[in-house]
Amino acid sequence: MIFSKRLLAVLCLGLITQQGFSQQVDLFKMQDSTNAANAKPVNEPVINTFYSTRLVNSQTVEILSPGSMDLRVSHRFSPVNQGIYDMFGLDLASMRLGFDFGIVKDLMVGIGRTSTSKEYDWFVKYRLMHQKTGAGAPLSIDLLGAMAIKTLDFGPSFPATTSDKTYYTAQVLIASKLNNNTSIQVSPTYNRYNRIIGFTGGGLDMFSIGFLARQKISKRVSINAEYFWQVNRFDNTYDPLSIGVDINTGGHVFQLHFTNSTGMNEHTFIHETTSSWTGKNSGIRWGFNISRIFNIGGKKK
Amino acid sequence: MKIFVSFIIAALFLLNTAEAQKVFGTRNGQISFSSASDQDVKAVNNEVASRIADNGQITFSLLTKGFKFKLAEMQDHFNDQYVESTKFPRADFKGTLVNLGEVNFSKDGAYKTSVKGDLTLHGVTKNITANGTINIKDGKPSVSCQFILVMKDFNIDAAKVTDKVTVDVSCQYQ
Repeated sequence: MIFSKRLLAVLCLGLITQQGFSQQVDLFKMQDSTNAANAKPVNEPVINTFYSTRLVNSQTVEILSPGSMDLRVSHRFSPVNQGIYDMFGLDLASMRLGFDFGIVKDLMVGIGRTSTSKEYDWFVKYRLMHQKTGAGAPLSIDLLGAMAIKTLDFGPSFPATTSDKTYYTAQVLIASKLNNNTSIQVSPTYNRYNRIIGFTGGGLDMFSIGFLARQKISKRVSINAEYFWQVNRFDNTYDPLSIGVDINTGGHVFQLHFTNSTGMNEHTFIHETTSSWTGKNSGIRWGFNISRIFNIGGKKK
Repeated sequence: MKIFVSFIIAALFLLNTAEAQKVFGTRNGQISFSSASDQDVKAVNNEVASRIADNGQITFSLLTKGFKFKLAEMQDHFNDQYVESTKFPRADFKGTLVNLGEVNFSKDGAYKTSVKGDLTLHGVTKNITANGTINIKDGKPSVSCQFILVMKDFNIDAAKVTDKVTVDVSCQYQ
């Protein structure tokens, strides 16, 4: 009787301590299983479809973050084929200085001035749809509205009012970041002229479609191409085609390219390009944009 | 005799309960980092999942996208180019207290401690040691520690911004 009770006690002791040891926790295993359970596909807005708000001349779907200011300096030189006397075009340059501002989420504005024709321009760009990494938003879609005014006085032999020299642009920017390295964009564009100066043909309402592509070749460098197909065009003008390289250093984006167009705002670079890439009117020129973003808005979000 | 045996079994049960391991956790731990050489580099992650057990194990897990910066552009670069959040969404740490014997989880107080373990960040796992303090108050621990993280050790190329950052960990457990 006593013997079996002792045995019972020893058995219980054995069982209890056995249970005690099997309660040993392993936090490392717990973390692994929690992480595995939490690994679900994320659906977030795609960032950095392009390195900057412009590719070469054309606007991209990128919008500045609220509180940011982008200082943009752009130069377009003269045709390279002018030879060494003009330092392959470097001696003659047109310049645009611009300031872009991120206002609120998905909205930015910008102003600028181009030396050619002493032209002032400004724009508003709004992101209608932001491409997401998961389902629901396969594209980024932006709307752009811009105006430009040439303030150059053409002289007494060519009277022109301010209204004559005012231009309007409306654009829809549709882009897709195909993968981490490749992005494409299509930009149907409408430019409105109040008066056609210096050109024949075309009309006051000008239509075109832009095609943009960016291919990253390293974490900070990409190769870009930009082409606008003009639906209607002025006589003796060509479609603008630009090939460029973006170098993103973190604070600055350097955009270097070759192009046949001289303009740096929508109506000039799309419809007023008088040189082509090949043939007797060829005039390929070098140009660059430098973009530097400053934070002027204090605490973000 | 019966009473004696029952008493022994009851005592063993009580002893056993006393030996059950304590695991504390939090989902709102805070990990922040800053750079001594660049004032603008400052980010905080307030959604760190962490557990600590009285067997000396401690784990941290966070989403790299959860680091919030003061400057929006810096946060974009951090996620897109430096830690590549899309490729490596999480950072994990699994470590053990080096001086477990000196820490009494049942007794309130401040215990200086050191933790050693594997930190996985940007796809690289490296063994690190960090010094810190465990505070036990009302039986609940809180951990605070600081260590230097060299970016190159984890294949993070942020040399243009900063070579290393000081990481601050601060977690209150339940």
